[in-house]
Amino acid sequence: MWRLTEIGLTSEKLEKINGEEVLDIEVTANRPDWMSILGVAYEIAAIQGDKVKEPQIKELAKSKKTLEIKLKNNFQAIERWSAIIISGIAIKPSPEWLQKRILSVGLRPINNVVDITNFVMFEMGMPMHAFDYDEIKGHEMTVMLSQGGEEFTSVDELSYKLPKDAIIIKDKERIIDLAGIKGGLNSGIKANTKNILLHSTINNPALIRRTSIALGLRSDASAIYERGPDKGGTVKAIKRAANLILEIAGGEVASDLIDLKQKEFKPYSLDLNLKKLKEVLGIEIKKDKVVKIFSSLNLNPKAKGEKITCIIPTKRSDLKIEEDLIEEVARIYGYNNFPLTLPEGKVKEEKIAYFKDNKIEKRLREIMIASGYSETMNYSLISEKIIKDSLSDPEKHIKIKNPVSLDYQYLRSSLIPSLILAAKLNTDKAVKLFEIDKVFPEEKYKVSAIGKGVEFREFKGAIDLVLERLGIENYKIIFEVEEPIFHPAKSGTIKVKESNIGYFGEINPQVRENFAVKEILWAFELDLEALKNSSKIKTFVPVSSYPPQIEDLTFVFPPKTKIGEVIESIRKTSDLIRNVELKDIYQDAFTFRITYQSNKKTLNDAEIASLREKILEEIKKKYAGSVK
Amino acid sequence: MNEDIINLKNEAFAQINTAKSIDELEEIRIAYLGRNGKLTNLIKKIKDLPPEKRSQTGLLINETKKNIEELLNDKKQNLIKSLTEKREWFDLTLPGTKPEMGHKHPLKEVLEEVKDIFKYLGYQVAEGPEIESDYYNFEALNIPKDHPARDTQMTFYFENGKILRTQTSAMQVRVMEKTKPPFRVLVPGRNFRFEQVDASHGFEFWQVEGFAVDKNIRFTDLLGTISFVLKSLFGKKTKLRFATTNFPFVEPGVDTYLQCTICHGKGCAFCKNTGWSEIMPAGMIHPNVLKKGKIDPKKWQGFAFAIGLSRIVNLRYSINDLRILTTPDLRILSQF
Repeated sequence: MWRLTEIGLTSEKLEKINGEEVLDIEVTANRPDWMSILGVAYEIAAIQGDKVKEPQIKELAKSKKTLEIKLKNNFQAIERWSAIIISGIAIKPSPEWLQKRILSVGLRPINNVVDITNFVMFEMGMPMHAFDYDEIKGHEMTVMLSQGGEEFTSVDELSYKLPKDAIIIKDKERIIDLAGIKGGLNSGIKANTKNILLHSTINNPALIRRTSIALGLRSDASAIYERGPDKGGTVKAIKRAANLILEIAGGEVASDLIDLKQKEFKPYSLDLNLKKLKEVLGIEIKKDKVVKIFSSLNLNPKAKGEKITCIIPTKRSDLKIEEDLIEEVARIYGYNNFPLTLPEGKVKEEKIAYFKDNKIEKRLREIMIASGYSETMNYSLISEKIIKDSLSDPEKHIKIKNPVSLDYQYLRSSLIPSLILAAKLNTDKAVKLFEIDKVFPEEKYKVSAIGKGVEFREFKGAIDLVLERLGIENYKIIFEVEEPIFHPAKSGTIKVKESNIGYFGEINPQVRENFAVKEILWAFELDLEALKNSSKIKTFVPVSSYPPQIEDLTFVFPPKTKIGEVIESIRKTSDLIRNVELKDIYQDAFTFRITYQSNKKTLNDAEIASLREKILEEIKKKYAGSVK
Repeated sequence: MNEDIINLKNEAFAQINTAKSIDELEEIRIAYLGRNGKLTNLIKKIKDLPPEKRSQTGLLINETKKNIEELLNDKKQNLIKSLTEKREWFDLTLPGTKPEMGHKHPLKEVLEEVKDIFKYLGYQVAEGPEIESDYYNFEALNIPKDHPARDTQMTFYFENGKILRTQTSAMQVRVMEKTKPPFRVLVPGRNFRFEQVDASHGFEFWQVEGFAVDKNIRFTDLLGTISFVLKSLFGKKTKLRFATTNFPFVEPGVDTYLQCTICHGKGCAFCKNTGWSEIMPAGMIHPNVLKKGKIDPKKWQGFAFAIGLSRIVNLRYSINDLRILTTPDLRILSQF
C-alpha cells in the first residue's frame, strides 16, 4: 500500500467487498492510465517485477455487413472514433460475476450490455457507449458542437440545458449523445433492444471539462476524458467489449470495425541522458539499473553510451520530456532511498525582486502585545452588511463575482470592522485586540487596534508608545477624520509633515448601534508604510552624571486647550527640561511633572526658578494659561 | 572636650547595640560619622583648642571613630547572620502579579519561526499580490485553462478578470522574471480557494512558498531541505516519508508525509486515521516554468515547495479544527 503511494498512486484503503479486494486510489491529473484496473496492475507489476495477466481478446469474426451506419465526424471534437455494430443480442441482467464487479466499483448493475461497457471502461480505462442501433434515426451520426440552450435528456432520465460548445452527436433528427459525458435516453439500451452500435472515442479534454463543469455533471467517463485517455486504445477496447457482449448477450458482428482518425497514434521515442539524470537527482544511478526500471515500465529502453532511448506507448502520453523520464526513474528507485543534502551554492547578496522587509511589523507586534493587546487574524473577505454597518460604501470595495456566501463577498478596505466584530464576540470587561494585515484594493499593510471597556487615555497610551518607540516625532493631530466609522467629534488624524500616518478615535455610536455593541469602543488604524517612512533611528543621548530636579506645576487653562501641544511647548522651552509628564487632571487644572537636568552641573535653586519663569511665560502667552 | 568625646562614644555604642536593622545602623552612622555627624562636628572644633591639646584630642577622636566603625560593622555582620539563620516562614507558592501582556497569534508565531529557519539557509523573504492574474497563478505554472489540476483550486474571480490567488506559487514566475539566479526565495502569504468552511477547509489559508534556482540544485537538496526544515520545526525525532505526486509546475513531483504529531502515527481524527499528515508538496521546477520566468532551463535548475502553514500550526498545538485559528476569541487567543 505505502509503496504504491510512494510511486505516486495514492492508495487510501484496501477492503474486501463481496469477497473481492477493492483498492481505493486517488489518481493525479497526469495519469489517465491509472483510471483502470489494468493500468494499476502494470504499475504493481513494475514495482514487484511481475507480469500482468492481460485479458484474452479474440479477433472478431468478419462481418456480413448487414447493418449500415453513416458517421460524420468533427475531428476538433473527437480525434478518434472507433465503432462496431452487433446485431441480434438479448438484453438480460448480467451474470452474477459481472454484477458483483460492477457493484464493487460503486456502480449499479443495469443490464448485460451497459454493464459490459462499464466493466471494460474500468478494466482498460477506455470509456465507451452502446447505442440502440434502431433508435439512430436515418442510421447516421454527426458530431458537432452545441450552440447552447439545446435540451438533452440523459440515460438516467435527467434533463439538461446544454452550454455552448458541448460535444454532441446527432442522428437525423435529434441529439442522441452528450459525447464523453452521458448517453441520451432516446438512443439508450432498453429491455427490447436487438441491435447495438458500440463506440469508443477520444474526445477533446478541454471541451469535455468545460461542459461537465458548466452542467455540474461529472461521470466516470468525463473524469477519464479530462485526463486524456490512451489514443491508441480504442480499437482494443471495442474488441474486448464486443467479445464479452457476443459471449454474454449473444448476437453477431454486423459491420466492419470502423476507425475514424486523421493520423496514426503510435508509440514515440524519448531520450534520457544519464549525465542529466545525475545532475538533476544528485546521485548516480547505474545504467543497468535505469534500463531495468524502464523495462519494468514497458518503455523498451535501448542504451547507447550515455543515452537511453525509450519507446513511449500511447497510454503513457504523460511522458513528454526528459524530466518526465527522470521522475520515472526516481519514483521506481524510491524517493525514500535518496540521501538528504543541502544546496551548496552561494547565497545571493543583492536583494531579490519583491523583497519584503518585516522589521516594522515585528516591532509593532512587540509594542502592541506589551501594551496588553492580543493579536487576531480575521478574514479578508467580508459582507456587504458589515460595510454598510460601518457607514462605508460597498461601491468602494472590490467585489468577488462568485463568493462562497454573501457573508464573504467583498475584500475589506479597513481592519476596523472585523475588530468591532471581534470585540463584540468577547464578553470580558476589558477587551484589547489588534491586527496587522493588508487592506484592499491597494494591498497596503495597516496596524489596527480596538479597545472595549478601556478609558481614552489608556487606549491612547498604545498609540503614544508606538510613535515613541518608532522614533516618530513632530507629528500633529488634526481634529478631523474622513472615515465615517469614527465619531466625528472624538477622532483625529495623525500627520507627519504632509503624510497621513493614520487615524484614531471613538467608534461612531451609530456604527455601534448597527453592530449591536453597547460599550464605548476606541480604535485606531495606522499605515505601516507611513510609519516606516516617518520613523527614525534614535540618537543616543549621554546620561548626565548630575542629579535631576523634579517638581510638579499646576496650571489652569481655558476650555478647548490642546494639552498635548502644551506639553510639547513646555518641553521645548529649554534644553534643560528633560521630561514633561501630565500627572493629574482636576476640572480645568492640569498638573505637570517636570524634570530639570543639566549635563554640566547640578542645577541650583536660582537656575530652576528662572526655567520655571520661562515656562510660565510660554503658558501665558501661547495658551492663556495661569498658575493655579 | 575629651569628656564630650567619651560621652558621644558611649551614646553611640548604646544605640548601635540596641539597633534592630541594617537601615537603623546606617542612620546611626550618618548621625555620628556623616558630613554633619556629631563626631565630625567635634573634629571641626579641634582648631579652636589650644595647640598643645590638639594632637591628643585628634588622636582620641580618630580612635573613637575607629571604634564606632568597628562596632557598626560587627553589629551589621551579626544582623545579616541572624536574618539568614532565623529561617522565618516565607511562602514561595504565592502567585505573582502578572503584567497585562497581550498574546501573539499562533500562526504568526510559527511563521516567524519558519522564516528564521530559512534565513539560516540563506533564503530571502518576498511578498506579492493577493489579487493576481490567471497568468501568474495558473498559466505560467504550466496549468492551462482547461487543466484538471484546476479542480483542486477552485478560484474566486472579479469583474475585471483578475482572481484571488489560490497558491503562493503564483510568485515563482514573478520573482524569476525580475531576479537573476542564483537565488533562494521564501514567500509566505494568504491564499484563497472556493471552499465551504468546515473543520478542515477554509476559503482563506496560509502557505509558505519556497524556491531555489542555481546551477546545480539537486533533487537530494530538495529532500534534504524539507527534512531539515520539518525537523527544525518538530524536533529531531520527526518521522518523514516522501511520495511521488504530480503538479504541472514540477517534475519530479514530491509529496511529504509527516508522522502525525498528535497521535504519533497510531491514527486519529486529525490524520484521518492514517497516522500520517500531508504537509509539504514540492518538486523540481518544471523547465516550462523556468522558461516563463526568463531563465534558461539548460543552464539552471531548481526546486520549489509549499508549506501548509495552518496545518503546521495545527499539528504543533494539537488543534483539530482550522476555524480555531480564525476565531478572534480571547479564550482561544490567550492560550498562546
